[in-house]
Amino acid sequence: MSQERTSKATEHREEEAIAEVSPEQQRALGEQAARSTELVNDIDSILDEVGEVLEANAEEFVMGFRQKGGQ
Amino acid sequence: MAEIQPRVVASEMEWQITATLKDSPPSQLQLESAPQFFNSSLHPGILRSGEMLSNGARHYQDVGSHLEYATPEDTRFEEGVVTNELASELFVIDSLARHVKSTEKIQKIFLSKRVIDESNTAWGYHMNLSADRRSIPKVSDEYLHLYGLHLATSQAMLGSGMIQQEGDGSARYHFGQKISCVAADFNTNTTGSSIRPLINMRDEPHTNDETMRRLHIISADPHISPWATRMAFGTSSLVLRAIEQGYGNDLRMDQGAHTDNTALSWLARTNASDISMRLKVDYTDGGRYTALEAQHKIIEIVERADMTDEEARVLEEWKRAVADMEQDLMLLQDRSDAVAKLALLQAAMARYDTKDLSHVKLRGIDETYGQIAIINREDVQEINNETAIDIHARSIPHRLRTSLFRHAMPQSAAIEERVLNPPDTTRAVVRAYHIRRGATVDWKRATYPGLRPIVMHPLDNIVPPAEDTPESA
Repeated sequence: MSQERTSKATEHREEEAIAEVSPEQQRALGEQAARSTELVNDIDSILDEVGEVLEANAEEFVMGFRQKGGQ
Repeated sequence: MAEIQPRVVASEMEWQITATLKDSPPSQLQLESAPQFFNSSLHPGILRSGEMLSNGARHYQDVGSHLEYATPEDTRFEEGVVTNELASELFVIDSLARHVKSTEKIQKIFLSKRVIDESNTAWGYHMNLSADRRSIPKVSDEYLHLYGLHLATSQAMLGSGMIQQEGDGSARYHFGQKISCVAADFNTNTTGSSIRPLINMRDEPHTNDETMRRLHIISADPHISPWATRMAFGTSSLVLRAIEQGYGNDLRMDQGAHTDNTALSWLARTNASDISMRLKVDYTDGGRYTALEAQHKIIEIVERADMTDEEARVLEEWKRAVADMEQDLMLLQDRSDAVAKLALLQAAMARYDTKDLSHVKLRGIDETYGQIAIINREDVQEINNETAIDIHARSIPHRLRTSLFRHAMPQSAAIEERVLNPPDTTRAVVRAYHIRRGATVDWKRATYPGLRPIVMHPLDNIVPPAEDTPESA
């Protein structure tokens, strides 16, 4: 019974908190979400291209790119 | 208080170059004759005087047979060292393309901007910055501790990341490449046969100005992200301003049980391998700080100093980066190479359903991240001004710079202009002028036959009128 009362109280607080997000904050959150999606898309397409490079140059990637030491 | 002198900045890059030969496995590029290489690979728009080029740079072969390119001196970050480095990439791609065309044995060349390979052999990317010799009479912990602290606590922002194979067969991600090889705070060594320092004590100022010294940093990583190059030089310059203006002792790490000359380098290596960024160490003010908390404190000190407008903009970017990292490290994937590479690895781990960093696809990300160019023999049948640009446009670094890092890229036209032309903020433009008139030059002198050398101050960018200058056939 008390658990139910507590979760209702929590819901009420959460609703208040959501209601308090200003239009500016909502816009910022929206921009952040759009930017996150953009970043995910960028990362995914870079991974695609890495795969293509690895395939086109498979022999060298297997053998490695060792160098002599320098400064 | 020292007056605000322009900060002269430049970098030297030892390039990782692997060649696939006919009938031979891929290996580090070996030049049969360095002079022959430099002659046959020279862009028709460039003149050389020994190792010095008419675009203000120096191009030569260094220890360990690495081809090395030193950018011209500049007093700016974005329009200066960032642009000069991007131009140097195109120049080196162009020279290697010409080399492939002029030899028959080479099928393919891989050109990489990284400083450690999978066997933990390391070579160099060196940052050079001018500093005030009167307030920094010695390159030592007494004067430069704050700078060492900055280098040791900024790895997440300024490192270029790597997967390191550990002794026990496991693989771990590190924020920094070169920093794993650093074992002393301050000394004069540069090669791996001896102990590499966090800050090098080499004192070759390349100037006749006794108030100027040159700081030589061999512990930094080269960058794909132009933002990171700007911030590496910009934050270094800011910390040096604080030191030059008397605030250098306002934060000090407690040496504790570390032997002399090892505390800062230990901190740098440990922070570079601590992806959680939770490590706290003791400071002499009684506090215990993580790397990010130390960065905060360094920023507070730097804010007291006088600085240029460009440095003030770097400071704002620095604060924004530290605030973002405090919220979520991964917010820096659009700026830091270490974080962008980590983001790619994390996405790949999900895509290929693996947690093993030795997975071939993950190692492939680490390797291709820094591959500025893959030059195939069929790319170089005909070489023109577009060849290097086209070759580079197919690379993963180019892809990174047109997506994650596009916000910080200089204009293509500015980069391309700098391939053949020197910047005009320093003696680089004067030295280039003397090369074109046939003088023999080094960093600071231009000599015409039978005449006393003309000495060029680093900040002297006034090209003398033709009628006042001799000419050599």
